[in-house]
Amino acid sequence: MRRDEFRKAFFDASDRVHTYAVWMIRNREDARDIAQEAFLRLWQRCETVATQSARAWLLRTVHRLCVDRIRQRTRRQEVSLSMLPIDSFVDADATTDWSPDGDLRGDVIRAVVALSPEDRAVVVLREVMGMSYGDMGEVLAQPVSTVKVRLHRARKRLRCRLEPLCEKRSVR
Amino acid sequence: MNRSINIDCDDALAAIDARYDGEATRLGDDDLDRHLHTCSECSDYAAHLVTVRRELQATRMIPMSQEAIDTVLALTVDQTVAPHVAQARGLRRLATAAVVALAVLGPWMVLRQSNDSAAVEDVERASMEVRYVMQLTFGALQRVEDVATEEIMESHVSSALTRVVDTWTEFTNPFVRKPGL
Repeated sequence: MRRDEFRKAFFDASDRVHTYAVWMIRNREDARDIAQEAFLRLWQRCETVATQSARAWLLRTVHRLCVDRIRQRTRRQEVSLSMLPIDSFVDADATTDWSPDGDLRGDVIRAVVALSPEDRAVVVLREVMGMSYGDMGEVLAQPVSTVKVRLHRARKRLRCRLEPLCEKRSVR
Repeated sequence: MNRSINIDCDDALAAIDARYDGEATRLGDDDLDRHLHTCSECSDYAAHLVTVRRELQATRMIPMSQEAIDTVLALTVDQTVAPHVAQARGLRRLATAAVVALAVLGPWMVLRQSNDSAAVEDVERASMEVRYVMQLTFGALQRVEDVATEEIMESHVSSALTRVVDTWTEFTNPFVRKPGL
């Protein structure tokens, strides 16, 4: 990628890169720092990254930075006090049946956010970002077969988390 | 484990994932549909996928703040203007030093080449030559500061330097008639 193509790549990918970081790290300040760090790294490695793969490269970098940050948190036994509220993920104009008090959409978001980072990554890449198995493999640096298995397991775990909530809702 | 229509639920669940994600499945569509009609566990799973996707796709992209965008641009693309200008300024200082050296050395060279009786006339001629070189150099370097890309800048600088060298060669050659002299 040429340096003069960076600006376009930045504006093309900034929303997705930041959104992925927010879902993964669940803290707006950390997500901003990670997204910025990813773009600065891309700038430094412009010559080695092809223009068409810049977005995947950025998401892969963000993924690694998020995993590192989560590990640091775990080591330091940090409790994130500034976890994002659920409405950070939801566009109020686009919702009809959502309210912060807790309904289906809020429950789904909470369940995804509560998954392990590995499970959360595959679910977010597939369901929020709409990526194919191949693209997910590039981001996660894993073969497609592994991505399929991980996604399937993550969906099962997500279902386990959601089932009691859904049953409770149907009883109400 | 449910084995309705001779399909394992594990195989069926993998096939549901693949079909739902628009990927190729090992099971035929008809076989999978028949299984889904008879297996509540797998059909519940398929319904779960639909629900999760519908709800997650209604979430929004979360844009970077303007401050974060400005920071990235300031540390990357916006930074590239400064080195160009700094480089042009450095070259201008270098050229100024070269022109000053020419202004000092030029008359001395002329005086050295000429005999004593023609010294005054030669010094005047030398000073006009030096002014000509200075005009060429600063003219080219002025354009250098205005251009953005490195390639154009390099071509201007090299052309200015070529002109300086050519003029200096002409200047030191007593057999060439100089323009305006």
